[in-house]
Amino acid sequence: MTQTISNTLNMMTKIGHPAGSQAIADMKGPVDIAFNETCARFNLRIDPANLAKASKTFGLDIPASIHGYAKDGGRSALCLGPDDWNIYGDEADKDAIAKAFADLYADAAHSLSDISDRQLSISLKGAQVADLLAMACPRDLSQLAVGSGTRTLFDSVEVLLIKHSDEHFEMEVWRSFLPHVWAMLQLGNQELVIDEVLNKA
Amino acid sequence: MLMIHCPHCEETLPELEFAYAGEAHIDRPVKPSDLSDEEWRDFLFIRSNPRGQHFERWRHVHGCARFFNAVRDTVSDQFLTTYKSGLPRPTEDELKELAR
Ligand SMILES: [Zn+2]
Repeated sequence: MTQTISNTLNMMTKIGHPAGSQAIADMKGPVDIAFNETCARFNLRIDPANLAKASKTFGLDIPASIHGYAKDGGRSALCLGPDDWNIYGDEADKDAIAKAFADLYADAAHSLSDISDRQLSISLKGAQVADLLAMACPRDLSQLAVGSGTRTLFDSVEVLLIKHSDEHFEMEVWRSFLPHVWAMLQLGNQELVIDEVLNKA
Repeated sequence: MLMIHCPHCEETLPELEFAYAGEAHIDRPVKPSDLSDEEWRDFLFIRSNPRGQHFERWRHVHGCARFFNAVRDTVSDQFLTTYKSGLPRPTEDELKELAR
């Protein structure tokens, strides 16, 4: 676990929040909830007409349509809006990505913002992951195709969701909202346990 | 919950992802300094506030984050249509057709 993630969890433990590390160890449910490794994360705004240039610079075909998601090796990209993308790479590649886009600037005006530290990524795995998300997400996630992603809400907090498969979602949450979202996910996971017990009874 | 069609996402999605953003089709004056105080007041504050069909802006703030326009009936809360900003407002005939 990298330093930034453990700092956030330590903070939650210090304030006595249920998302503190002790509470995490205590809670087990049908959905595996874990932090993904930190990464280099940028928000890219560029004229869609110049997207091919950005793809060449980034070394990955950046998807053109909303919800589009592409991943190849250490690089991935998610289309959030008509001219709005998040692009991801290994943490060690951060400076190289920023430099490559700086070089592109003369040819294609754009904005590339480093948001690596703004949000953390959570992995959600299990057969009941859709049930867990449906507890607090207003969007019908069965309509979101496998291999795509979207911005949406989770219990009134703005999050990003990527649907890797029907049983594997990735959720990105801004750091300041993380204690709340993490606690909600744990609570929901516990409710799934209760459902299971009640169904057996 | 209201379901709103986003013309950028081309999906009909829950109201919670959207934010209302006031009346649509109000052009900002090109040269505000040429306006009288009354004209500037009208631009800033005076709105049509109709009972019935209202042309208004919405933003898909927790989705694609784009602004767009909508025609909503302020009595029934029914959305007749939504369309991208910059497009002309639907004609009366088109709206009659949509309201049927
Ligand atoms: Zn949208």
